[in-house]
Amino acid sequence: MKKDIKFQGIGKNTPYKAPDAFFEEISAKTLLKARQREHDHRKSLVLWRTVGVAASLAAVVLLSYFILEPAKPENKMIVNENQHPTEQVIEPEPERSKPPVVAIVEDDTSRIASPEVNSPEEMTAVLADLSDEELMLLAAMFKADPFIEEAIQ
Amino acid sequence: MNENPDAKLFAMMKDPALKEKGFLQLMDAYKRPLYWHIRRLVVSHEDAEDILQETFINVYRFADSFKGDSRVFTWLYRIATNECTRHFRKNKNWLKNAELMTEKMMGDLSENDSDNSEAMLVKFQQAILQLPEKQRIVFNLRYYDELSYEDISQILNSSVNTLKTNFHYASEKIKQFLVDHA
Repeated sequence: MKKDIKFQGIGKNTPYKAPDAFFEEISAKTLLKARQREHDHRKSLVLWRTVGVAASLAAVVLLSYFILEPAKPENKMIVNENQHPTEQVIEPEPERSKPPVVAIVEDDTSRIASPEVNSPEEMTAVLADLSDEELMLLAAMFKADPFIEEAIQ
Repeated sequence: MNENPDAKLFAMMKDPALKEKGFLQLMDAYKRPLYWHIRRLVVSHEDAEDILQETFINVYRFADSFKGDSRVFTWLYRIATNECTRHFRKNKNWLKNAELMTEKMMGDLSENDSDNSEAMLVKFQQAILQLPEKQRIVFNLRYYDELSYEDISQILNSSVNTLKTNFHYASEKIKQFLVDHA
């Protein structure tokens, strides 16, 4: 078998040396390590299986929640920021079938259109209080509203 | 390298009650040849000890997976050689360290005025360390462990012709190194 190998004077020896008693001790040391490795492996296997089962359960619960959840109307939640989170008030959206409610906002125009003025003197006094912009607005209202003219007549 | 005792050991290792006894007997049979195979490849004793332990721990853990398709010693050599290869990949400086170790050995020999044959052994190891990884492994398995090309083929998963070529080139390079550093 070795006819093609010719390294004369070298042979099969090496310059390396193993420490004393190395071969006597290595078997027991390796067996201890092997046991420990097997134990660690089993522990990590149990841990991973537990994590896997927990993850699967969580996935099933979440899926069933999303699948079986009853359809809810899309309520608009109006939360007053000054309120405590536990006292949040949810105002329902007004029903679409009802006619819209027009709020009467009190501003300068209501003061202009107020029918409280009875005498020409009072009217003169009121007109004197009004600014140019308010007078322009009043004129525009008279032009646009046909019922005001009817009421004057 | 009789197959029957090995098969008996593996049968013991597959029995939980006899696993450790079988393991210790298997270690007693193979720890020396495997240690020297690993030591010649990695040079450092500490690394060789770690790799030897890792090899046998793998045997302990995966004894059930041994189907008996190959012989036990080729399976063990295969695990040990793979562990050495992993060590080479993991420790990029291992070769530099191994060369430093052999240089130190050479230095110690000259200081102690030892005989020339010891120096020759170190020089021979230095020549082997110059080889590419595959050639180094093939040369060691063939020259020191005296394995047949068929067995090496099973260990390294390589064709016999490739192994013969590797061994031939390795021998030529070693001869050249010894001539150059005579």
